[in-house]
Amino acid sequence: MSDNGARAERLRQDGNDHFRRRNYTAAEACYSQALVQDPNMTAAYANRAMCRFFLTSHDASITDCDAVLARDPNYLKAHYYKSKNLLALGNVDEASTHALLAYEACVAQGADTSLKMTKEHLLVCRKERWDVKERRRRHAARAFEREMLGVLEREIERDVLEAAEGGSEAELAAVREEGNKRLADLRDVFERARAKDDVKREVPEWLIDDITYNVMLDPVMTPSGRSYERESITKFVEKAGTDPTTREPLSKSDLKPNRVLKDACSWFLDENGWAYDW
Amino acid sequence: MSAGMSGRRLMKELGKIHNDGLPPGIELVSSGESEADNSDWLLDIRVLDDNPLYKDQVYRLRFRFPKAYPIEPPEVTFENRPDRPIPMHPHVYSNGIICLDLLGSQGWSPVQSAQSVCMSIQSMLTSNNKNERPEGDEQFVKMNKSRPRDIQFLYDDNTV
Repeated sequence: MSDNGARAERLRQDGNDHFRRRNYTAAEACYSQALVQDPNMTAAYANRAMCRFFLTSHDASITDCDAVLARDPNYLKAHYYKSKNLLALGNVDEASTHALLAYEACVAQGADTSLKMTKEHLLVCRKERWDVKERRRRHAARAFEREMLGVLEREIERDVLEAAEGGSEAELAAVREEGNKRLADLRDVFERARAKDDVKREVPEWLIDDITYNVMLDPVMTPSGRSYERESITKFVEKAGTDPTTREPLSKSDLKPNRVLKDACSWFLDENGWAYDW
Repeated sequence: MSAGMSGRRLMKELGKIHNDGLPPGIELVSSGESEADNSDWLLDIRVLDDNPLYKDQVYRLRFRFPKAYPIEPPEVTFENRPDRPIPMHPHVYSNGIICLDLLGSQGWSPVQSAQSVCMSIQSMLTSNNKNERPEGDEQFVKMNKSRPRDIQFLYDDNTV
């Protein structure tokens, strides 16, 4: 290692010491100095990205994550922290994309200890994304309702004015009554459409992981043909080494992704975002 | 999201019980100190047929769920109270400790639930006709200081 490289590594270690003591400002400074010595030190960018995330310098943190990903596109923590920053900035779509990349990197690298963390973050992103979509949809629906009611109200007003000019007292009353009935009908239509949003909050059994009772995100299948969430079955297999249903010996390598079920779960969650924390 | 695995899972088991009810002869008495701590449940069970050993009796089970539940099994024991005796069974010690393979770390499966464990214990009683305690009961009850999950039972007799 060159002198510069050795100095950079020492500075990075100093940064890590500060980081462990949660002194993020001091850690960030060390990592920056390390990068002056060695501008290609991927780990220093990744570490500084974490500091900057905790210091809520989200844009700067994302820049560091990008510097890491330019050198190593499968760097788990860079995807993870990029996603966390994006989520903090309210960019739910891109946050979801990088949360998924982090989770997939985790699975591909067999980094089981990070499986829970990355999966839960992915869930948070997806939930957040659905909430945003849902809020927008409801907002648009309410605006549309107000607009339609306004159109109808103006029309009724016109009819009433016309009747007031030419017609009798009885005619005017009839026009008023007809108008109120039409308004009530229209309100009823919107009311019923809204009610549909709140019913049928049920998750089909076959999308549910029998270990956590959550909707599955990444179902994997055992040789006996049953599917479980990757994180929960991995945990059990590491502990017990058996299939939870048949009690036959089972190891991690026996677990195969169940892609069709994964698509079904993902389709269901896209339509029913409330099920993320159901 | 950051809550332990057991909290959410137990919440869901409870929700299911409140929605669908429990099978005949099983009743939930309480489900923990508070909503925040639902790790300690009490359930009453009865034997449904006319088995003279258990006729007209109600037994109380205590479930203690570890944080890693359902990856790890719950600790399940019978509780002795004036109106809730400890049932007579060759696998039930007189201090309420139950020797059942599915509750041991070897026999446990995370697809089991509080409800399915109750049903297994219920059927373990139903099918028994021996009016006796496990061998060495007196000695075991006197000496045992460990918690049920730390005891190494020998599941050598699967006929009862």
